[in-house]
Amino acid sequence: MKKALCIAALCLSGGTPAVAEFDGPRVYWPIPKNTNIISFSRFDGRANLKFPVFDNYRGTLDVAPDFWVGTYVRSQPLFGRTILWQASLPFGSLDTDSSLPLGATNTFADGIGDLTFGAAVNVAGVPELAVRDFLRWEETLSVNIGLHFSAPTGTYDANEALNLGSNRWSARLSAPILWNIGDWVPGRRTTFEVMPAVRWFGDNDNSFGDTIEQDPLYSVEAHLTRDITKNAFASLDWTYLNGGAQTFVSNSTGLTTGTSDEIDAHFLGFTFGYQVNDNASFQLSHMQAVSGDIGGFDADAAVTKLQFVWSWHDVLERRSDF
Amino acid sequence: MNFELLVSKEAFIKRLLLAVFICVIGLAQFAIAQDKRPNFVVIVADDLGFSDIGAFGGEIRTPNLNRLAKEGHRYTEFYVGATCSPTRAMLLTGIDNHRVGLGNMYEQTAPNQLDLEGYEGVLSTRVPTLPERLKAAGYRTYMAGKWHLGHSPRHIPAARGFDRSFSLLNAAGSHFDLTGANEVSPKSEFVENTKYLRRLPRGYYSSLTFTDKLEGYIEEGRKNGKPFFAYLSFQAPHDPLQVPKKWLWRYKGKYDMGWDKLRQQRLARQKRLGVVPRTAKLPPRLWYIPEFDDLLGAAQVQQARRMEVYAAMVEYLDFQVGELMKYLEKSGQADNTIVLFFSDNGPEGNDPIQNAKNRPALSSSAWYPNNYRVDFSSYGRSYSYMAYGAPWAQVSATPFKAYKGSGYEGGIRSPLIVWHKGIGDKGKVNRSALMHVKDIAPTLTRLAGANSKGMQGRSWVPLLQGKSSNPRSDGGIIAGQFFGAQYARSGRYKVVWMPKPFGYDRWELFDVSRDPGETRDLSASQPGRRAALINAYKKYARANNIVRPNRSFYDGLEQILPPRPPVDDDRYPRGQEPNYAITE
Repeated sequence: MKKALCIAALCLSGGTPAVAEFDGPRVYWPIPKNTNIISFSRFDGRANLKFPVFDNYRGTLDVAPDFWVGTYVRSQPLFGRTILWQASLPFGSLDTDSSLPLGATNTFADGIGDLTFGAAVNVAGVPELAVRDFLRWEETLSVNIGLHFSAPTGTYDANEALNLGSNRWSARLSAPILWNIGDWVPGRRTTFEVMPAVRWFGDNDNSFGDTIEQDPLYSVEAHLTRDITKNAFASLDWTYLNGGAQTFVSNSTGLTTGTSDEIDAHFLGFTFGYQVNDNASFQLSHMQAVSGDIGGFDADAAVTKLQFVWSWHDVLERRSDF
Repeated sequence: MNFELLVSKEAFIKRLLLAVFICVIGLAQFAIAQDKRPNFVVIVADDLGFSDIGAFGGEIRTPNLNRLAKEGHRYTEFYVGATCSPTRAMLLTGIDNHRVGLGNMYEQTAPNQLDLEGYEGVLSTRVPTLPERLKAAGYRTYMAGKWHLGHSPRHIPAARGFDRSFSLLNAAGSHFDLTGANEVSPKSEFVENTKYLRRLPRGYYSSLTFTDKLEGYIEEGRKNGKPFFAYLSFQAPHDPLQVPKKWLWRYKGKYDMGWDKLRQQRLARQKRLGVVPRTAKLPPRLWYIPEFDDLLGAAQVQQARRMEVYAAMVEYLDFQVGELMKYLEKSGQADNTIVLFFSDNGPEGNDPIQNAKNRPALSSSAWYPNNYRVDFSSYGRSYSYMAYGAPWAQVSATPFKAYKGSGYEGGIRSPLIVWHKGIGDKGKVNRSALMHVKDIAPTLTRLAGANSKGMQGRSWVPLLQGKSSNPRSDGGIIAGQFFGAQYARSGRYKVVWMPKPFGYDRWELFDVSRDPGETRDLSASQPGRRAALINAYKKYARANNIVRPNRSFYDGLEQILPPRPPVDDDRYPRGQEPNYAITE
């Protein structure tokens, strides 16, 4: 009995979407309705320009972040499907160790980032799943549609080059697709996941007296994941980013004061996930820019993410009292 | 002398001799081609329950077996051994299992049975087998499937009368590969004719490969015009319950109603079909099986999934029966073929994985997770070991009490279908013919014109010809002894002595024709009948070399299983008196 329930738990703590373009593997796996997931992700990395998580770097930077994202996800039924409500809040600090081209003096920022909220709903492949349905679920191919918004709620100072908030809205539309290749049995699962997405940006109306306009940023994320054991998996990750060129327009003159080229970069990486117990799991991911161009600079960015996940479901929790 | 004439005379004589020779050969071939004796196909399922197939009240989709039943006859009072190899021994000899080496299963031989003749645990070479007798009468003989009557070169099918054979020699094992069934038998042993196999054919799945092999043998021997005896001995649906991927989810959600409701549904269908009497009542759910509705939701799913896989396995077996019948029909052989279908014993209620979980410190327990996946998520897969356990076995045995291994009807009664194109009164359900697996050998030998000397079973030929409705209309008894359980049936009545905790360590008397569930012990009201049947059993025991085991798997079960309530009746649940302050 307990084993059967643990199967549910095994999949609950797969991961949660990140706030930016790197969602990661096994994030959109089917879960039972009314599941709760809390995660905390710690990011480490470096970037030369316009890396979405570190949205407001301007210039060539090496950063030493102490940067976290807390996320809450709840699955709920919606017209016979499952919808994943999500809210994320970045927080922490960023520290640069190189000078900025625009001469800003502040190389440190802390506080909270922009609140991200939204939902992803399965539109094909997976119906609404109660725990008892979930236990017998055999994944084949499923398609989700996600719509997430980022609100200008983060810490922002218009006179600083480095901020955790971005002072603008953005919206991201994604279509995560999950294809199960092997047996849907813990220890034997193999999946191929593709997540095309596009993010539209609102204007940041005040950055050093300029308004920043940004073109949409397109991304495709793909993961080939494979169970190593019943409790562990590994994933080969690839992400392609394209678009996001910026234009800086002076608020006082209305003239364009500068531009940055679009991003056109490939990232390769890996993820290792481990299920600690019925509730807890963690994932370690690393993504490295392998080719391309980021805002006119040679791609030189890397992100390492360590994510802790805690998930629970009322049904599972009650049984664990035994 | 006319030399030329002489030469031509010699040539003439040579030609004449040649012509005579050709004539003789031709006549012989004609004679062979005209051998109109029937072919026999005996299909045996492994651990299939009485009510599993549609024609006997089951909800499992078995269109091919249903068709055979509709075009043939169904027999409901057909007895087999309580376990596998004793039944097979009786099938292949026509003689009681205690006299042909399978007085007990090889795996279960008791200390007081060791080294006794009739208890060797392998099919005795002293007794001619059915295929040997048929072969001597000019039949081709084929076998594919589970053997379980001996591993040595002297005991394999090729040595026991089968011209061609492909066999699993063990009791059980993976349906997909050579992984065995337990620590004692970690690797399955297969033999094709006289060759012991180191690897299995590509794409091996027991039901598929056995059927394909048998078809191949029949086709290969078709040209010589001889009739054939083909024994298709399915390993399905014996545990581990495994099915090909495409069949895994065919019954998803179909058993969420649970075992209690399903038993009732099956009984109702059985009554409608006429395979059980209107008076039949379900025996109480075994005392150690919880009510399905009392299970938590996830546990219900886990349990239901077991039955889903089992059902898929049975349907796949049926599909292969259909494939074989298609082949026989396409090749024009079906018209002259008699097909028999039955199960080797009642459904299996024992769950080796649960037993292993109860004794996790034993290496024999650890063997399972070391060689199979045993968790819920893997149920039904090629690498999984799962048995559906007592709750569902009791469903499969509907309307009977208990399951495989028992002397109650659930252990020893099997569905039987007899099909032949020319059979009269198609679709008939016969509830009056008291039949036994020992009868098959004398029936087939008589139809084949083969020697049946020494066989104990009774021929069904008059029954099949419509000249009789019961091969034991004279009151002849059917009796058996398995693991200390003893029974004897004559006419409507049966006495049975079941060891505790399943029985009461005493003789019970039932009118099984009206009460197949053995719910009402008539011992007190009919002591004379009880005594007569007990005597009949004793006579049978004396005549058939019965040595009751001084050790069996019933030993100690009373301490392991939950205490049995004093009243076995679902209408009177015990535990606490109703609280009137609440109920009012």
